[in-house]
Amino acid sequence: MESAPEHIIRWVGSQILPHEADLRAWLHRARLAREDVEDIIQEAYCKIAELSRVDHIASPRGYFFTVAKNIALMRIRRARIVRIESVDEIDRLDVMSDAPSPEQEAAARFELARVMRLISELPARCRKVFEMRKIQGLPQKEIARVMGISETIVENEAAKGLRLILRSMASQDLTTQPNKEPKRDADAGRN
Amino acid sequence: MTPMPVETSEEIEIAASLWAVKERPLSPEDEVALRAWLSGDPRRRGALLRAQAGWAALSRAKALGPSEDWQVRPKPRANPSRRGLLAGGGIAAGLAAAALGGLFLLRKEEAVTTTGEIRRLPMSDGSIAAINTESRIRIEMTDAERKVDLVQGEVWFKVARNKARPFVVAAGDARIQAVGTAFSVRRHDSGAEVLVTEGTVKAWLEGDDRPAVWLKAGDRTVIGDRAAKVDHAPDAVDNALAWREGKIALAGKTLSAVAEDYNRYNQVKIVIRDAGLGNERLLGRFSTDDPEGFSDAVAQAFGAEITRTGSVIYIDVKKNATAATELRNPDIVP
Repeated sequence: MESAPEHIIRWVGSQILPHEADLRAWLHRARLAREDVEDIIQEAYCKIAELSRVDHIASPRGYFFTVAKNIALMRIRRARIVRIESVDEIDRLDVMSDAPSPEQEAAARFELARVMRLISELPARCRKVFEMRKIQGLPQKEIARVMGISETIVENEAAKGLRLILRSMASQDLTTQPNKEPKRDADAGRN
Repeated sequence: MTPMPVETSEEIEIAASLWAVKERPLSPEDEVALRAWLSGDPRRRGALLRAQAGWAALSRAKALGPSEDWQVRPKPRANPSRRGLLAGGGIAAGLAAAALGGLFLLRKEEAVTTTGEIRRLPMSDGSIAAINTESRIRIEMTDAERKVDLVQGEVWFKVARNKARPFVVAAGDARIQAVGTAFSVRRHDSGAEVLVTEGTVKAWLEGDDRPAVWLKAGDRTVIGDRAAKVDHAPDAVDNALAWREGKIALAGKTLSAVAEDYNRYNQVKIVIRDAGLGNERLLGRFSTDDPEGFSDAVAQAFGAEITRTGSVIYIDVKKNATAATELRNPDIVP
């Protein structure tokens, strides 16, 4: 089995991944257990990995939500004891009514400020490796040489950075303001 | 071959992230190894797609042109020539310059919730804040201390253990300190109400001679002008934190008290017009965002009368009706 083609990877990165946090929140609203939500999201990615083209998908967000909803319903029906209330809750989740506000849309993009903040929050060595690889675009060998560590460690740190960033993006409330400079005056916030 | 134990999704996530960051093109040996890996657990393919998508999306950050977000970032003393570089030069160079300029050290953050909004905020140290309706916090992370100023409202914290960096919440003059524990703080006019759900916390009033009080899981107290009295009431603590699941725990409270709770979360306000009705006690849990449903259930249970005018729901006794004293609505009683 091969990994997904490059254009699918890029499409998932720009059109699907940014909605993962919302999808997670949406599934939690249906009172599903945390592990179930994680399994459903993972299965949804598996489903998407089977796609060979995506040009027929007009709303990637809607598609992602619908795939997850179907998986959730299937899982519940397969369970030995069907929790009617869960079926009801999930049935009532309306994919269309969950359209994001323009602010959420903006926040969902991998904005520079947001990416910068996420990178800045990585542990020191991990951050250094991550910056060299993703921002300066240095080859792994070079990073290992500069930092005096093995290539395996470079790879491990890069992978760890990726996981941490994905994790905080996925659990982040999308309405969070992209980290602005904190203002000093008391009335600095939103009204 | 020995049977493989079932992988956890975290193990899959780790392996997938390692495959995703590997430099492309892969060596022929790695190609083979990746194919073999993918043909194992079917979940792996989805995890790899997600990791690769994330890795690809993060590369795009490098190619983004200078944005306004970017230009507001330099601190006031950043020199103008650097700003020029950011606006005109390659973004990679800009980011490198920013890293040198210390812009990556931004660790201050403010979070605000509006009426009815409940937000879960992961903090950079691994702690989590659940912020209740109409609240405002300012977070300041330094190497020596993790400081949160509760400016308004209520927040529950799940604190990541780190003995070297105390976690201190300030609510007015009240101070609550924790090392690896979970607790909530709510500001009232009379002081800060502290509820502890895990571990131990220390709470005191800044600039006051009284000794700090220690609270353990299930304890609650108010840090204010009066001497702090610690109650051990795990059920009450649990009920008071039902908002984290978007619920109000009625828990034997009076209808008036519950109406007040509702009014914290909603623009639509509930007003109880009859004192007797207001003293009725209720049980169960109800969604914070459903004052209409709650009022209807109350009306049904007590034979009360509902009048809606714009943003107010009035609940009053029905004329010529004896109010039932028991909640019969199954929606309210779990």
